[in-house]
Amino acid sequence: MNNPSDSQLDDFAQLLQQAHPEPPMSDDFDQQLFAKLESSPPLRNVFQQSRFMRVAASLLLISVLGVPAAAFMGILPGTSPKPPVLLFMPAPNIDDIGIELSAVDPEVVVIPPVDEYINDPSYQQKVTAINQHNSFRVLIQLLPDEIEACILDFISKMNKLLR
Amino acid sequence: MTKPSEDLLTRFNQGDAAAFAELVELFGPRLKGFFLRKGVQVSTAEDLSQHVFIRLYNSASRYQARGRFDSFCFQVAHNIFLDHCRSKKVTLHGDDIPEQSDERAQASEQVEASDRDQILRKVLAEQDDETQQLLELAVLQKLAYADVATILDIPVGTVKSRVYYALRRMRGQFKKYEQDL
Repeated sequence: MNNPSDSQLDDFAQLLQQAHPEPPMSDDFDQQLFAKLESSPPLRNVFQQSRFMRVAASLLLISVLGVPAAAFMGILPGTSPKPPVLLFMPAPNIDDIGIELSAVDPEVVVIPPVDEYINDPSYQQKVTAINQHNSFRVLIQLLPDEIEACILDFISKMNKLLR
Repeated sequence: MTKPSEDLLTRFNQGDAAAFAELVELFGPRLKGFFLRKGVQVSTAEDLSQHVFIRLYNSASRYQARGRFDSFCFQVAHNIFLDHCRSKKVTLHGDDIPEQSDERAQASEQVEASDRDQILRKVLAEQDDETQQLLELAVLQKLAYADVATILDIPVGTVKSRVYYALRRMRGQFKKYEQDL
């Protein structure tokens, strides 16, 4: 079977067009259309005609753009009038809080625990002993100097004996 | 003689209200035929045509007469039909669901037709949806292949070859039906 030539196909396309004429519009098509156009004016016209719509649109625009704009302005240098105020808790007075049991004797070096010592029983015992010693030193500091000297002398002697 | 449709929307933009009425007169029947052949009822076809004109009216200020106006118009019509199909899936139920074959029959009843015309309509109706869409724009609406390619989002070469093969196939079917008569 021979393939049709281009002109034959063009003729067939024309036949196809003729077989599909444009249908007539209903009588009230124009009326309905223009009624719809009047009831739904373009947005541009709505803004041109209605002051209320312009105000409402402006408010909407300001509220939408205002927040990011304010945030942007806030990060610009020199726009913040007050420097931030840094607060800290004042050091407690020993008279207000009573005896501080964990007060550190400058003569006793306490090494802060590192991770591997946290669960080490012997290290924990040592820390407990140092804390007790420190507590004792703080207690005797409250006593008159003569009595404190006597007690320290006594402890020193006892240590020598025990060794 | 056809009116220069490219000028009508431009004239309307320049304040000539009568130009839009001319546009409706010129493109109304073409759009109605376009939608009828998609298989919708007559009233729906006119509704959709009105949607096209409303969209053209609302976007008239943004229109720039760079290409052919009929291509622009059928691009809008194509998009509106796609929107219609999407909304139909959600909202249509019961009696609103159109029977395609009945609607196409209604479309063909619009104009009293000869046997040959009826066969040609039957041949077109037998094609798959894509081919019908292609022939509608390229053959019945006589749009440029490049514009059809843009509307259907396919390469121009594909449009050309598909139109050629579709016409060749349909011509063969048409000859066969004619012989059977």
